[in-house]
Amino acid sequence: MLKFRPVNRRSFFYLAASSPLLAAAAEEQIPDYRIHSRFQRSPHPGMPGPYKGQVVRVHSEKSIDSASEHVDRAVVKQMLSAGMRSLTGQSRDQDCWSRFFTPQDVVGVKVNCSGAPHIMSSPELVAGIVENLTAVGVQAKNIWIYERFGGQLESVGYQKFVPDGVHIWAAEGNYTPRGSVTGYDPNTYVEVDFFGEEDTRSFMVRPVADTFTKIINVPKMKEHQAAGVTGCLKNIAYGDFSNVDRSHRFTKTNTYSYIGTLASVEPLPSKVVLQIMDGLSSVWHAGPFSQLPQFRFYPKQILFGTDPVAMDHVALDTIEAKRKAEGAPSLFDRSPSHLGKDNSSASINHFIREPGHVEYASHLGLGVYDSKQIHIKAIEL
Amino acid sequence: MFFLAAALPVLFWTGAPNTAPTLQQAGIDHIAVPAFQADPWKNVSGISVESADLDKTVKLPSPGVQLHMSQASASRVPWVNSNGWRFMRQPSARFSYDVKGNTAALAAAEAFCFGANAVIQSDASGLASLSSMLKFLSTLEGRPGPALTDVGFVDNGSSTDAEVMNLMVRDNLLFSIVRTPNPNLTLNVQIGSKEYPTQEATNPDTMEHKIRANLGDARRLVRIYGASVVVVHVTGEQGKVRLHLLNYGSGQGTRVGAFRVRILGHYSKGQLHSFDNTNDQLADYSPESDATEFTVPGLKAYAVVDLSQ
Repeated sequence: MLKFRPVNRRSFFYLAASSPLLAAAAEEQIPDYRIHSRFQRSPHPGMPGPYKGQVVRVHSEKSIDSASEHVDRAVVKQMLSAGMRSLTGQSRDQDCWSRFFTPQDVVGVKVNCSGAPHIMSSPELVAGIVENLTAVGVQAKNIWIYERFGGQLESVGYQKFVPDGVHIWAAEGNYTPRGSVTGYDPNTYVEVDFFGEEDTRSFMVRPVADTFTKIINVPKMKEHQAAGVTGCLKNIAYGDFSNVDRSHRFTKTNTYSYIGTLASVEPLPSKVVLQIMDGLSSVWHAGPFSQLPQFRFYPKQILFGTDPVAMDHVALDTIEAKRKAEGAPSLFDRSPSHLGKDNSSASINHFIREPGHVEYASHLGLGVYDSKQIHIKAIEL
Repeated sequence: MFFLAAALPVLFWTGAPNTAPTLQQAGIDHIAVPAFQADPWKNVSGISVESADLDKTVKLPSPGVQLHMSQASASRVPWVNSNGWRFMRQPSARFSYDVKGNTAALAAAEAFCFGANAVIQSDASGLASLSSMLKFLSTLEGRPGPALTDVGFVDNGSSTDAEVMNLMVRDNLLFSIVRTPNPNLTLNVQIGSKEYPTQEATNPDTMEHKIRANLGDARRLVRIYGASVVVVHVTGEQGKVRLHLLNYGSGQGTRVGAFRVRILGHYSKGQLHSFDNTNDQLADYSPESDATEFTVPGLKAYAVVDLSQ
């Protein structure tokens, strides 16, 4: 069994010296994470992958109707095609997808459904992804659309958009008591004690460890009350491990270091080969859920890449710009006066947000955070 | 050391002998009654009787959980009400419960698991569940053995010590009450000593966390992952160990999903005996050199896991 600590307190302070943002957060101790994984890192890991520091942003006004929230499947298909061609430099869709997948692959499609039924990985986008996978020979039975919680997943109804045989699977299904570990790999976990909680383990979703050969991360671009934003990193981290909400208590959250730590646990960095972020609709406050419709907005874009850090930096900028336009405090604001239970006001949040988790993840080798090193290719349809 | 008694809990019944059909229908074949009713009940066939004086018993609160839903976000872990520490403090006492519904089964399992001598009062809603639990308990082979613990706790009988012990039980910090520190245990705790000042124990939660920190999670005999309302009690000797697993949410009808157990020591074999599902088996069994891990597929109220080297 492999045991290692990606960043301990000493090495964290070393890293902090190179970054003002990290230095500001370095006043707080990084928890003592103990990672148990039997998997070795691939010589060619999926994260940050072949397109490190690159983000393709495809925007189309016609992609979603802001009033009805109806997503135009045909337009999304065009966006998917344009984004993948731009990312890979290929001129045929099949060649784009063959760059990542073979007919022998078992592919997990990690969706995000915590804001369903309004804000989730759009089934139209997921349908397009599945269509391209099958076009390169991946069998329907070897495609798994998955999420942690069955109730959220089933509320979306992905099965109506994909061929028979595609698995729609939740780690904690509807008929399983919440918290059940059956859907998790007992041998791959992170052990950490945040607040003196008795249950100190977060187990990895089981098929990630023992079934999938590749994973496509399909997060929803959203503000997050604890993490600041939820995009690629949070979806692949908190969405692939059990018992993660314990990282928040009162106004304190450990998302700063826990998101990157979880995302760096093998085999995730090796298997997550493609990131497609759904920014058709979004949430700029009180996320990741979407109980307050006044905080939804419609960027009408999809991001493509293999570098989750670079993509999340773009998402962070998008949400931050929207908050600024709405007169809301910055995601980086840490003022106690903006903490409270009633977040129906855009000035109030439950937690001190930790958007610095994106930069922290860059120091774990997951991607590029420095704006000067991120190349964004914008496509308008 | 605290030894597991073989005796089963007993239903305390105040009904007259003409209520016997109610008991027989529920499958109850042994009861405790007030002394003045003992003689009339002796003529009832199919039900054996013993007398009990509730005034001479230690009355117990109902075991279970409180969700504290109004106290937002401090912790999502429910508050477990366990009587384990009370049994340990008074190992020779006779205890009594007054519980309803599914809690009657939980009470019986709790008393059995901690080896307590207990009578249980219940209403009609509790008879069936209690009867089922008593039948299950009677099928378990006797595995007396001493309680296996990490911590020796020098109990001074105070309410402060009581609350610290209460917290240790609910968080599965296995302890036994000792008169003087026991060098054979991993850690000894005496509230009022230099290391564990009485002042610190005025916040029992702080004291409990200090005990846990001093013990160290890696040295704890048992850990539970994936369940916050399961209390474990361990007995054993000579290479054989029994884990008693109690779901304190069962009184409210809450079944616990699959959870992971880690116990120090190498045990090549493990067998699950589950109250609610005799077909359940341990999953992902992993006997390592220094510790053994396995998954319990679910828990309605009570189960035991027998491990052997």
